[in-house]
Amino acid sequence: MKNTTGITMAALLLLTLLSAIFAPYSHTNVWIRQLILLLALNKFLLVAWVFMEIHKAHGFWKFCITFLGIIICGAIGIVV
Amino acid sequence: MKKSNTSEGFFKKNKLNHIKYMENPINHKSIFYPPGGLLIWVVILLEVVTFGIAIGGLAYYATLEPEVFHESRLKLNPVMGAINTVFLLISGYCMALAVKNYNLGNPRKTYLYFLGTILGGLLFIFVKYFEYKDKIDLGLYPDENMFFTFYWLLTGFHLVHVLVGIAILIIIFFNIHRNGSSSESVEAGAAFWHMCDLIWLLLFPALYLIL
Repeated sequence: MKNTTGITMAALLLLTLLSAIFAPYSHTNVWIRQLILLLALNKFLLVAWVFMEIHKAHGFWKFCITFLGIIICGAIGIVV
Repeated sequence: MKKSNTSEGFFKKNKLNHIKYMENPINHKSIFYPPGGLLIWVVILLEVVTFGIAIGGLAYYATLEPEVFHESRLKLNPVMGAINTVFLLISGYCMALAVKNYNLGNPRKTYLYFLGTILGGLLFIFVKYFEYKDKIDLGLYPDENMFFTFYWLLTGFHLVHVLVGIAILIIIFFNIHRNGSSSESVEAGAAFWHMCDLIWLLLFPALYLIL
């Protein structure tokens, strides 16, 4: 389990690094903006599911936090 | 000598808490007992919804004044934002390990990871101080334009949460040290701290990277 937390941490840092690499091209390319949002959504879900241990919780809480993350990132993605 | 007694008491109380936890583990599969408790999860969902609406507002206004928003966004420092993201992620990682070690009855590691979490939060504030100072020196106040109104409101409101989170963690830390603390209150404090991570993970790309 500790290993899962460590792997998640490494994945989060990698996703942050990827966002930083893609960010300079975000103004000219709409797909890059969508990609950065997708990376942000992945980080959001990793923190919620692994660090906050929502995977242990009732399905209602899993649904709520996942749904909110998707809705917020989706709404920004549609607008930008 | 006194220090050794305190430390001994700390270990003993934590051992007792661990035994209590192992005898009556919380059934997180119940809808009423998510990790950290029902109340903190209601708060977390409301906070995420509130910030989500505000970020949605930011994105909407960006479509009305795209050039103003883009020019303003270029005045932010994404490197500082990225450094703060890393600090919060490391801090969240330490928090997750602190909870795990607390429930496993490893007080020494719990201690260490709690301190790591608090340090991560303090480093976030330290970087934020320089970021804000930079904006104030440039005269970029909330009334500059709509982008900076959102910038100050969203990051300021988030910073208040980080400050409250650090205060909660310090209180729990000393509670663990003095009396031992229930597993649920440690998990509740951790859930609040992770909420600060969650909000920042949505704020960072919206404010610093894509508009």
